Amino acid sequence: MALDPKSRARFNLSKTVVLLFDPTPLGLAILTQILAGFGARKIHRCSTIDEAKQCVSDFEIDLMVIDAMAESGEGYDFVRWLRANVPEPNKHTPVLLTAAHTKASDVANARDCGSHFIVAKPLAPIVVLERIIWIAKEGRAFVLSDEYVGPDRRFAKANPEGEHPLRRREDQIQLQAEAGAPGEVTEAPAGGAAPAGAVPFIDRPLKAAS
Amino acid sequence: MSSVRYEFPKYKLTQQLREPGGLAVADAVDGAAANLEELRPECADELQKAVSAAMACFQAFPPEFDPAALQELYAIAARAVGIGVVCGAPAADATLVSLCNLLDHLGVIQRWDLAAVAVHVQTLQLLAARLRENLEAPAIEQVLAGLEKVTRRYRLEAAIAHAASA
Repeated sequence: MALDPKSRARFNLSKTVVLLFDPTPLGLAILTQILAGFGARKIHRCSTIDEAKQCVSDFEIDLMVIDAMAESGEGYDFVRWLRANVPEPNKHTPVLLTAAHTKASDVANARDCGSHFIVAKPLAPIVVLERIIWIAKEGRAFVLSDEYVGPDRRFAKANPEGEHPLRRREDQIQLQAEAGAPGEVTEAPAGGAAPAGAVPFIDRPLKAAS
Repeated sequence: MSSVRYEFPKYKLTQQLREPGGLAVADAVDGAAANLEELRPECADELQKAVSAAMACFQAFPPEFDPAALQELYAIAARAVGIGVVCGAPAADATLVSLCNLLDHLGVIQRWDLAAVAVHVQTLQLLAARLRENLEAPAIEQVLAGLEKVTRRYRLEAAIAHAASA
C-alpha cells in the first residue's frame, strides 16, 4: 500500500543520525534538502567514499542514504565493505541506495551488495520517505554467509516496489510491449506520486495528529 | 561447505520514527518540496553545464567505437540525473536515463551509433534551452517516446550479449 502524501500520520526523524553520500555537490544538496524537510537534524554529508568510511568509523549511524555511483559502482562497494568489515551497530544500519542508472553489468552487484533498498533517481520526496519507513520495519532477518551479508532479500512482507510501480518510462513501455500494446506510452505519476488513500505504513499505524 | 547465519537486529531507526513529536507526512513532503525549490536556480545552471559538457564530449567522439569516450559521456549523463526534476524539467531526467541506457547497451555490444547518441544530446540541448518556456506536454511525450524507441533497438541485443558473457 502506498504512503499517502496528504497523510497526517506522524513520524519522527529528529533524533536520527543520518549519513548522506553523493559525489556531486548538487546531488548531496538535494538529498540534504529532502532529509531536512523530513525533520532530520543530525546529518553527516559525505562527498567521497573515504569521508563516508571515516564517518562510519567515528559515529553511530541510524540511517544511510548512499549514491551507488553509476559510472564506477563504488557505492555498491561501500555497502559491501560496511556489511563485511564494520562492527555493530553500523554493520546493520539500514542503507537506502540511490541510483541514477544501473548498468547491466552492475545489476547483480546492486542486488548482492547488502543494501536494504535501491531507489532510482530522480528522487521524489514521498518515495524516499516511504522507503525509509519501509526499511525501518522490524522482522527482516539479516543474513551472514560467505557470499552475502545483508538484509534478507526474500521479502516476506509487502514489497513497496508494488506501491509506486513503473516509475520510469522504459518500464512502462516494456510492460506494454509484453502486454501486446506497443507504442502506447503512459506517463508515470510525476515523481512517483502515490495514489490517494491514507494507509498505515509501518507494522502498526502511527499516531495521527490530533 | 558454506554456512549461513541469521540475525534479527533491532534498528534504532524503528523506535525513533515512533517517538512523539516529529512531523506529519504531508508536512514533511511539503517541507522537502519547499527545500528543493531553493535549489531550482542552481539546478537550472547545473543542467545547462551538464548539457554543454555532454555536447562537447559527443562532438569529440571518434568515428569508431571507443569505450573510453562512451564511458565519459555515460558519466556526464549519470551524474546529471535527478537535477531536471528539481528545476522543472523532468523530461531532461528521462532523456538522461535513456541516454545512459543507450550508452550501456552500446558498450555491451561494442557498437557505435552516433545518430542515436546525437538525438539524445540534441534533445537535452533543446530541453535545457527552453527551460523557462512551457513546452507542450504532448510534444515532450512524443520526443521521449522516440528516444525510448531508439534505445530499445539495442536492449535485447545487449541483454543477450551480457548473458552470454556472464
